[in-house]
Amino acid sequence: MLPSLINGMTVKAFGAESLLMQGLFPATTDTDHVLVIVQLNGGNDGLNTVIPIEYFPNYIRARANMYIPQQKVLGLSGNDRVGFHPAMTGMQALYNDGKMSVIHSVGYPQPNFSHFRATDIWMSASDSKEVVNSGWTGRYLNYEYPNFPNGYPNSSMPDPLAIQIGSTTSLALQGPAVSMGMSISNPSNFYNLIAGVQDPAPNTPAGKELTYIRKVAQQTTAYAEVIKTA
Amino acid sequence: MEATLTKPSGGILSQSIDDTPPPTTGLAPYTGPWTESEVIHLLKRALFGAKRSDIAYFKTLTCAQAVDLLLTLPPDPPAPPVKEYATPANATNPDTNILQGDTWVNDPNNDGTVNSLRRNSFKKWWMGLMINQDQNLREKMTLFWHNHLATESTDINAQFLYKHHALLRSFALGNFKALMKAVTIDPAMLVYLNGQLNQAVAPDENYGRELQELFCCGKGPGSLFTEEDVQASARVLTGWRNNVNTISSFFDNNRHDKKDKQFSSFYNNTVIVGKNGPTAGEEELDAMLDMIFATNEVAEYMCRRFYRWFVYYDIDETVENNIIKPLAVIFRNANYEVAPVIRTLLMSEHFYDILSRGCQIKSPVDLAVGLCREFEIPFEPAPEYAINYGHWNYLVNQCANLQQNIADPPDVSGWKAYYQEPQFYEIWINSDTLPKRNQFTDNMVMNGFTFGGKRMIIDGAELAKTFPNPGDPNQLINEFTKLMYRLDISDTSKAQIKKDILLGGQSEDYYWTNAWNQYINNPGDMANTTTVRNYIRDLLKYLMNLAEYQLA
Repeated sequence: MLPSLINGMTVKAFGAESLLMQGLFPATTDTDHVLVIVQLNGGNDGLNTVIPIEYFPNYIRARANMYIPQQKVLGLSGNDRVGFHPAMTGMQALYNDGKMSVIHSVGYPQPNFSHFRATDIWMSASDSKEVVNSGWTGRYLNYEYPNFPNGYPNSSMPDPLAIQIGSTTSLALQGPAVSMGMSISNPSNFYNLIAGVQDPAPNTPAGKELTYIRKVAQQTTAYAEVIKTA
Repeated sequence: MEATLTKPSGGILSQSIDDTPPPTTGLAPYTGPWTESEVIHLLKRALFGAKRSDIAYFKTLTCAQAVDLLLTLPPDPPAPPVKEYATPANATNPDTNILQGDTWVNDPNNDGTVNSLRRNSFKKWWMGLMINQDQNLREKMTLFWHNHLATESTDINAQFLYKHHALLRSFALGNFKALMKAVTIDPAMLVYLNGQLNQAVAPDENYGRELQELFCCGKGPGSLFTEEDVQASARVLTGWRNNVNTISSFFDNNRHDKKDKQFSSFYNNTVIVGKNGPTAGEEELDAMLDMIFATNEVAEYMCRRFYRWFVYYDIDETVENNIIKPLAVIFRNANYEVAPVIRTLLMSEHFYDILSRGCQIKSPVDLAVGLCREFEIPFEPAPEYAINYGHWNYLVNQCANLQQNIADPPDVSGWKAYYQEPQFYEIWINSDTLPKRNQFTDNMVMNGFTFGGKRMIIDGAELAKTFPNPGDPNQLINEFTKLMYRLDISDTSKAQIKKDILLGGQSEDYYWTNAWNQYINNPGDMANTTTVRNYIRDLLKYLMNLAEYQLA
């Protein structure tokens, strides 16, 4: 089975009834929205992604040997302060259609340069000097649904609070006590559901039993139907 | 030919695997390579889980030496369960005479609450014995006999329950015929199947029926005992009673049916001559067991039971002819000694056939006990029995939640996984129990279970320190999958798991290597230590959630 759907990215979805979702979307459309967080693992050069046109001389100094010439920077309608990297034509179109926002200057003081540690800091939203074992989304969901997973799913919250696509337990979704994501989901049944991909079963008695267990797993996920629908 | 565990390519999940016949190999001694794969296969079947230290040791032996070691049981029984509960204030018969940490097994007590606490004490103790098992078959065979000669603890007082269990344990690899004599007049069995009520004026057929149908002859096509045989056997067994104060059974000649008992042609029209006197019950029982054990059916039925316990459930005509029938001849020729049968089976080329491997779905006990042993979860020294019992109690309850409540099987037939056609082991896994299995393994690696201030939890990072090269993420994953899986996952999957979990989405192995080296050299770097430990935790959680982990 291939444990990750989109090249190892972690993808998460939130239910529409959360306060966060209601805050992000007008009340008339708050019934069926899902917040999707796409976490791109690894390093990204923010200055070469969203290019500060208004400070172009400073930008050139900071990226002396790899800056994007100003004429190649993709312009954004109604915004003469920043532009996009030339490869980002799709996002440029989204922005110009009013479907995209960029949040600047997100970070934390005294950044840690260990990849692992920096990832944990992002996921937990902690200071760089403290180790926090819960994630920012997990703490938020725990605030909204303090008793989860006891009593879930239920009629007022039939959906999983959050779904994670990715092979590992994301720190971001870790609440103070339990993961606020689909804690009972078996990764294999989840990926079967979405992608139908996994290691082949051999044509042996062991393969027969493996196939049986996988079939039960596919039928098992308490939230299988709502995930399919989503 | 090298018999390693590899997978043919080309299959997909949706393929129909309806026709996967069991192996055609027979009972000839296995002469192939003796590698970790064979050792792990043997240990996973003969013990609960294969510990790394056991794998290393058994690999230094030959196959025959390995099986002989497994067949060598310690001469003494384990220390009995102890009191770790508070005597209930409302007990009509309080057992304040038994001190904390002393055993209660020889102290007659029929108070309902006390008995309930003692039954729980017994179950915890038993779980502890399975977890602390040594390199021999005693625990796997004790559970086998419990499944085969099933009783339910809730019907039996705790002292009888322990005595019954000790009997099964003492016969783990003993003589089956002698065991059947002992268990027939065992106090717990006399309660459970009404033997103590069975008397000349009011015969009770319950035990006589199960003696033939479940314990000795089975329900196979060759098992042709009749309803009249059931009735006659019940009359043979009249007169046995229990004494709760001496925790023993006795024969009451006044209640015994002294007339002759006529059996059917299945038993060669045997007549068991009615006896009168203090030894009448035992003499007639001996005569009846001689009669039953003279049929070919007993050995064949039992060999099918052994086969389904140690190998696989599918017994087709080839397995019946190549394995069951010749094994039954060995059983009969050995006068029903169990050890030679198990020895032949566990040394056979059939047992090590590639088709015999990895095809058992773990029972809940195999899952829970195997998990503790394979991940080398430490328990407290003996004086801390109260903490250990608390931890073992959690495991007892988890197994019960997964539909295997030790000492309380569903009924006298034992657990369905070992007899119910056509699903057998697959009955353990359904849409209710599979998520519960995942929740159990998740909890054992994420949070653990805390009792008496001590946490029982899988410490994968600590275990990884004993691996050959844990700083290499590829070797680390291989060591864990070797320990956990009988059907390995593909290199593609391992590469993805490595990238997503151990490398945090990166593609270079040194991300893990550097973090691991820092963890070893500077464990006080709490941020790095947390990262490394969490990554291994997440790796184990993920691997235990794959279907492969449910197979043994």
